[in-house]
Amino acid sequence: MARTNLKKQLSKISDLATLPVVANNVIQITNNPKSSALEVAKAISQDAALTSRILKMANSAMYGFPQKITTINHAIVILGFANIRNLVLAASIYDMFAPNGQPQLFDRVGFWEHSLACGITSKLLAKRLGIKNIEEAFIWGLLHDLGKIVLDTYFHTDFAGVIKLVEEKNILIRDAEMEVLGYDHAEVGGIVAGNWNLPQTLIKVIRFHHAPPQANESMRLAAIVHMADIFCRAIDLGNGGDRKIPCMHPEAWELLDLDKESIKALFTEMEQEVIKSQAFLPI
Amino acid sequence: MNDKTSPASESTAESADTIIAGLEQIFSDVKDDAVMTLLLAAAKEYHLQKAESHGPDES
Repeated sequence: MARTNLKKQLSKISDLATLPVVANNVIQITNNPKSSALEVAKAISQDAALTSRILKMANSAMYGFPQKITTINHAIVILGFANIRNLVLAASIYDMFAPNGQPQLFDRVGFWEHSLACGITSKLLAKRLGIKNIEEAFIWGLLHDLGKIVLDTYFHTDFAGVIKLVEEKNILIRDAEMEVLGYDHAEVGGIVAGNWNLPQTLIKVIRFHHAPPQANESMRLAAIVHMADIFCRAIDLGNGGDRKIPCMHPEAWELLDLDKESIKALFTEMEQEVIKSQAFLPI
Repeated sequence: MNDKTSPASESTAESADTIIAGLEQIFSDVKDDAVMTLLLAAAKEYHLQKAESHGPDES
């Protein structure tokens, strides 16, 4: 597919990939600083299945709250607007692109396992780097590869060509995407996230997780997800769609600069947290 | 010291060998990079220690 077709192809994605109404409403409401908790709760409560999912996620071992959260209002008070919005996003996007039980060329179960592990690892790295709201980092990691699942869903035949090329040549999925499509999942993910009016930080992290310095003021945040992706591949957490690992960007590594023992300790922590979060998404 | 290798330790060594071979393959394109070499070394030790602590695969 020629690069000149990129704009046309991506405009097609914008028309096809639309967020569920409730998720869209929650984003609009939480983007407005004048909104109240009541408005957010009301919007979520329109969807009973989503409400129950959000409560299940908020009560998962990943958060480890001692008291059971029984209402959306309570969840908003405990977790805050931004985190509730992130849970709605996580649940809605997972439901849009969940594994369907059929054997697929692109391993969706492995994809979501990798995404969840990246979310958890991003949170651990954000904590190490003193980022204020480490829960935000979770959604960056969870959704960083949004473009892959969008491509698999809406451009299935072209994306199947990408996966076949990865298998034939044993190359990085991103290199195969460039060869087959002329653009990569980061570009697609960034465009879709922009169309969905997701927070600017999240859009930048999705768009530049392979090239953190290009994220400008969000460089540190993109670097966190970039490193999380590589750490998860190093210990085989989930499946990013290939059997290769990309190089760590030097400017990202400078932020952490870990020695071997610290990396091993991080690997242990990652795996323990992944086990704890098993109930977070019904993968 | 017991220099005779037991079937259990043979199985553990075999599974660790498989993991290391897989890692070598995953990292094969980035071997010239110092950070990735460090990461590979850490990943190898992590997997080896994990395999040793879990014992042989009984499946």
